[in-house]
Amino acid sequence: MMMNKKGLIGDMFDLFYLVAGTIVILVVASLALSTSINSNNQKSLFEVADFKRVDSAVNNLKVLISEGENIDVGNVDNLIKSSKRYEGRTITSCFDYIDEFGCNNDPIKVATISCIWEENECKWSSQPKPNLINCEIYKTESECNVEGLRGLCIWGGDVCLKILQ
Amino acid sequence: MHLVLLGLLIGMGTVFLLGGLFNLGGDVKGQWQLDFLKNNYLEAEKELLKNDIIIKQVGIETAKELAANGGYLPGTESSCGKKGDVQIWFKEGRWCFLGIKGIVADLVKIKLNQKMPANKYSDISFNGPFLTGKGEKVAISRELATYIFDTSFSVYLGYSFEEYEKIQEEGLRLVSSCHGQENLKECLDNAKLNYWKYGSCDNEEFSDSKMIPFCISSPSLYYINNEIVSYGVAFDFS
Repeated sequence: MMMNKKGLIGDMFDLFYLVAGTIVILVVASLALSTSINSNNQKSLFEVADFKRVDSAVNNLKVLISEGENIDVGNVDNLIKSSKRYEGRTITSCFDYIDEFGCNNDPIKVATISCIWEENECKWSSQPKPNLINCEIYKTESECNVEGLRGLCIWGGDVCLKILQ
Repeated sequence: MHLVLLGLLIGMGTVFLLGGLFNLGGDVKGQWQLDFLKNNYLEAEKELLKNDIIIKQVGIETAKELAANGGYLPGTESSCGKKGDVQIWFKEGRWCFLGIKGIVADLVKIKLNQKMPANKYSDISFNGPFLTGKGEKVAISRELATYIFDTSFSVYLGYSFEEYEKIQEEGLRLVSSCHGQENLKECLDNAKLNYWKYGSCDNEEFSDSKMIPFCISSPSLYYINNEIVSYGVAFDFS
């Protein structure tokens, strides 16, 4: 009778260990899996974001060329590499800032000197990069001939023309 | 029995913990697709961007060289000959300038072959300020992925070769108005447009002969290398 009671208690301990062990195994397995999955998800999201950044940077440069800007072919990789996301947009040059605060502060540091907000557009400062200047944004002769743009733009009677490099 | 079970639990726990370090959750989602986009698609887009930049440079160089040689390939001359360094477009009742469509295509093709020997282009032409051409299909192949893209181009030059047509029309009008005129200078003064200068664009000088060289500043005010594009051509008014 005494032996049976001892055996019963032993079986109960075995059951307790089994239940506790199963719980521990499931918790550990769940933690290990979720950590790994989260890590993989983060990696996927990071790579998608990086793809979008590079793709947008390439498109930004294509737009600049189609607008008549000159870009040094040796500088393309650097421009793409240094482009960054800012408020949902990829910034590759000053022209990509769409708000005055971002333009004047240039948090991505895309400008050689600085970017400046003029006439609701972001432009290079008074010392613009000659290979990225867009003359057509200057609507009057005085703006077109302003210091810093001489040699890059010229007033053509009714429009500010780019001097081809 | 308890120790065996405990050992089993510790062992399994250790395996799962280590498994976390060894990517137990499987591969990164979309890894192949992302690799394809980054290593194939984006590389192709970068290559096309660089091609466009080089083609634009080539187009501008071509514009400069043709303008400097009166609409003829460097080192060649008009069938009417030259007056000094200036190409003669009209002589003895014969119009010698045959346009630049073929010349632009030839010169651009030569330059593209030099700068991008791996790429082959055909049907090079221009349409307004755009230089266009047909390229081959190029494949970027990586492990288990191939991306094929077209290298045809349409690049904005900011300069139009169609200026030559305008100058040609104005030249023809000038010739038809003043050809054989006794008082040639008076006729030309009245008929020519103000961006047509006698001899040089800087120091205009009327040469007292029937073969008149002109310096014509770009009618559309195109600039290359900080200088307005100018064309030197001569006409025989005898």
